[in-house]
Amino acid sequence: MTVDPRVFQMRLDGLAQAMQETLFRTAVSPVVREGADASCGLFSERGELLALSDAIPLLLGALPGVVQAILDEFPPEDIRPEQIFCMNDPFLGGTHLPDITVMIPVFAQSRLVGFAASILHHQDVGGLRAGSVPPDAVTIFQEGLRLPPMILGQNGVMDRQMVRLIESNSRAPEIVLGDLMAQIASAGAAAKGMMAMCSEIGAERFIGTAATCLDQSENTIAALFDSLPPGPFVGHDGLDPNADLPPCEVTVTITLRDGHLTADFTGSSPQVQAPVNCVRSGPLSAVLYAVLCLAGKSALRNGGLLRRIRLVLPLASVVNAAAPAAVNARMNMVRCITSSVLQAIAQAAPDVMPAANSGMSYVVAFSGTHADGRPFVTTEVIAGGAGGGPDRDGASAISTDVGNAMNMPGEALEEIAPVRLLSSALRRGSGGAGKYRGGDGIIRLYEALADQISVSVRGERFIRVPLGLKGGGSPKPSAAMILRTDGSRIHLTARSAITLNRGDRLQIESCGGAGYGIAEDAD
Amino acid sequence: MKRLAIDIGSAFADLAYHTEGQPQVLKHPADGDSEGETVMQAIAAGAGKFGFAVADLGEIRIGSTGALNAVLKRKGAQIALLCTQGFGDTLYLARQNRMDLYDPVAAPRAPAFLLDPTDVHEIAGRMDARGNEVTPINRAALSELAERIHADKVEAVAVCLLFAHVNPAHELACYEILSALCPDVPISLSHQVDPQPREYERTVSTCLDAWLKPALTNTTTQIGRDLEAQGFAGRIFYGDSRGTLVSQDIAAQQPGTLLASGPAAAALHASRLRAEKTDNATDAPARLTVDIGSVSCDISYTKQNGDPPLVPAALYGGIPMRRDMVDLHSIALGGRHCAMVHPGGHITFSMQAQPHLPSLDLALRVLGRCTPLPSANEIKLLEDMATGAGWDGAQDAAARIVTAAELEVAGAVMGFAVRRNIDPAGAHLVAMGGLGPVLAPGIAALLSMRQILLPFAPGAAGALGLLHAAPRYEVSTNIARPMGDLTAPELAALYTSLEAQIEAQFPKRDGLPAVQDSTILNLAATAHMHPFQVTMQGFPETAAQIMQAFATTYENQLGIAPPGSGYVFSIALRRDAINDSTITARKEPARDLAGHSGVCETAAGTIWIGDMWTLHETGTGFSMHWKEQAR
Repeated sequence: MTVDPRVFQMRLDGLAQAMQETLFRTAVSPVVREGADASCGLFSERGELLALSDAIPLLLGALPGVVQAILDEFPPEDIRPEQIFCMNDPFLGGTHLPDITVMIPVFAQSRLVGFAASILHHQDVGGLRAGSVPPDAVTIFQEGLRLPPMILGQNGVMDRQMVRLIESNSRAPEIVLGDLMAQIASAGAAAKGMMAMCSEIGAERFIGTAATCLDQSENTIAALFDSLPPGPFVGHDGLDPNADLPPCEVTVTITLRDGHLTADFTGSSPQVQAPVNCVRSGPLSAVLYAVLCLAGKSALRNGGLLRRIRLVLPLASVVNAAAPAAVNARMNMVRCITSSVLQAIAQAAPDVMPAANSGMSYVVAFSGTHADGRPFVTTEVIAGGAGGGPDRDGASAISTDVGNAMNMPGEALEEIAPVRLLSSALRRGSGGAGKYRGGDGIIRLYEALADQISVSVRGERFIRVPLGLKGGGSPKPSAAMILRTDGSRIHLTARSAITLNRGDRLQIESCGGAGYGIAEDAD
Repeated sequence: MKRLAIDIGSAFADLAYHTEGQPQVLKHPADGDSEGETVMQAIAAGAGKFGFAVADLGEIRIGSTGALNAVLKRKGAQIALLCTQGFGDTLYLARQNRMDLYDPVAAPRAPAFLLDPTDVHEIAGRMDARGNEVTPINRAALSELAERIHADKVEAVAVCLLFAHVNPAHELACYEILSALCPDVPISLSHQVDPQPREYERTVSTCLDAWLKPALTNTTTQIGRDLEAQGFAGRIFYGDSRGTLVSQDIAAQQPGTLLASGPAAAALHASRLRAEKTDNATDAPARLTVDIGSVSCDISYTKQNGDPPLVPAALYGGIPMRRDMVDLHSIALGGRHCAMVHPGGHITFSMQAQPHLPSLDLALRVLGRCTPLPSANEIKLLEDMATGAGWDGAQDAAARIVTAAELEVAGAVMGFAVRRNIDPAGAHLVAMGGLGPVLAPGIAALLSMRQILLPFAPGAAGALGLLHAAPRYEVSTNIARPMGDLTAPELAALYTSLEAQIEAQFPKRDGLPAVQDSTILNLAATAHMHPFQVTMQGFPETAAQIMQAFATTYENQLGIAPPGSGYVFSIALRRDAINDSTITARKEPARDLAGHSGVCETAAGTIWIGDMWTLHETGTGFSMHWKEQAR
């Protein structure tokens, strides 16, 4: 029986996607259930990426590194079928501490054929503030429970000691344990699918075809890289300037030579005493995303692509922080890295890339205690606008590039927290002007229904807005404001930790996308 | 009983008439001024061909691709939306995730075509998450709005207010005021259409309902009236998206249930085909079905000869659906689609009729795979295309267009199959619709599929599927409470009420088909988790029984215990009639088709047999085998 590698790859892609859908259906926490902040992948018996779900590209670069870190600690030849592994250490391949990876081995016909793994943003893993994304953290020790590669359980059940560890460290242990079980269940479902494929074609042929897919992908992307001008192409971006922070600048130089893409981040700022640093998975996600955009449907989406990507990352920098740096609010740094990489790629392939997207994601978390004493924590991600494209306006209110989180419905938020969503609307006119306009951002208005509600706001693009392309205009910057019951207004900075009391309102405005081309040329 | 099934497509109304044994079929042009008129014309044609009197028919079953085609063509009613203050952009914001993750220019997922932004009206009034009123509704302002809506001449109104699924009082107040001032405008209320949390999804469901309702209400009313005038005293059923039948009243009240009625019925028919003349096929390969008509191509599947599987939610025709339906995927590609050539010779298809562009149907006729033969003017369209693209004449252009269509369908089938962990190469391809049989060999070859099943009368697959379908009655009530709160007396009272309602619709009595009752519970582990449908035989007497059934279903499907003490969104009582029509296999006179290639007129309609294929009769149609493996 012959096996078409492309069909084989599509089936694996389908399994990864089904795994993710199972995860979203069974997840307990709102940020996963509503926001879809998780990603699933299947791996070869040697730990190479075989298939990824269509999730949040921000997590693209994390799973391969985490799986490798687990296999460094637990070599494949020692792994037993019943074992379940976990890990969240950013400095060993992870992202930030709330993102816990769960991985199970897949055995068929008495041999290891691969792994199923997911990474999921957990509601609370301890640390300075509820939600485990403290904007005031300066070291990782303030950010929560750090798990090196370890055994989480066996035979579909978590070990009692691990349950107690989570219970002792999390403010929302039931939610975290529920989501961990959802990760275990979804991995089990994917493993069944891989085993079914092995029973159809045999375990040996499964492994062989997987290797063929990886090789094909590698060859395709190498040819694509060779077909593009070699560069160097330079991209540059950075976080909003902040009086309390040294500059957080990203510089990337991309070259395309010998079938490889090299992204050299030399020149980026040293790491800072704030949680905005990111680790290696961040630039890897950004570069892999850009490569996947370039490749379109021509290349199989697997780890073969990674074989042709080289990262040069200055150690202890904002793009490659060293322990014990704080990293919880790394998302907007990854967005800056992505904007830089896309700027550079647009020089290599100018006909396909749009003007800059909003380049930001707002993460807003509410936490506190209900009147009956029950704690609550909820996290949501608010998108901005898309950049105008070479042939169409940018879409409004949409997750772009490495983001793809879904929004929080008012009906979900109000069920969980004593917070009322008073409005959620397009922020009209916030997109950049241009022949093809940038999409508009979003404006959301919340009202506190109880006292002492802690709010963590992590935004970006309050000052430094995305630049238009080919004469297009920049969008309006992001903004955030508190309207107190006494009528006073407090303008917030991009990273703020505040407290709302009953009747106080919080208004969030996200940045639009940049325009493409000169506005006067618009039809 | 004399039964007539009618499936309305864009180009034809297909009829299947059944008394006993084998059904008879007829294709009739769908050229009435309205869908109702098309149905009546088709019935008249069927009466002439099959020799029945309308008054003697016991049952008429109607399916349609009309609703789907309206969605694909973006042609529905002009509707207005009433929503909660501050939430007028809900439909356009969607869930903020994008259509294609790796398209550098992000594209939104919202079906914004359902609603013009100028027809959105935010109204005062607010409920909280528990259904307590926070702000009362402003009745005076609503009356003014109703007058404006009346003046705007919108054809239907959707009302979707926050937390209406928990407390519908404000939506009901809107209905009261609107219906008094706009009595002729249909009104869709979100708590009735889709009583589940999440305002975007519920807004879509409600807007879709309103968008489809005027045309469907007119159709069902007209059909009922015209049939009555002809002395018809039997029952009228409409096929729904689950492959079951619903009453005329339900069809008119819940048009969203009909969205995939034709494709669902065709999928049911596909599941009933034999692969070989004698097979019971208990361990049969999976079947992937393509039903290609003039406007759309529907893809479905079955495994182990079961009925087509249902899904609780799906993106169908670009619309996020939150209701049970056959697991289907529909792409906008059919015989009427025009082919366009792009620089480099790449061909795409467009639904917009463009007189200077050849259609897929024309390309097939030029290749001799369909009738009638093309006119000189039609051939010139292809010659012009060939000249512009540097191809070798009309035949070459036609072949390229057909190949492009086969590639597009094959790609869609591949994507559909692998998401269900089916390798197309190991599955059978079932080809239906007017174009299915002529495109199937090419599609199968691209997917390395080695066996194609063709039903007798593949162009009437939807109508034949309706004959297999059984009537389903359902009454539902919203609960929106923790599972543990439900007491035994409450459940008993609920059963009494639901039973009385369903008895009024379809009583258990002698002379009517046997029925099977079940309870459908929409449950979740907690109030804010995604709902999960659980089916119980009989009605639960205690909350503990509900929890037990929920836990069992959850664990069976997901492998873990539910992470919460349980929440009940709604409870429905379902009554399924057992289909009493027995359709027997056809005894087609043996005909030696082996070795035949090219176009072949058969009882399965016009078939194109590629060089590498050979044909066998199966009793329910034909089976086409790849010659390398042909026996």
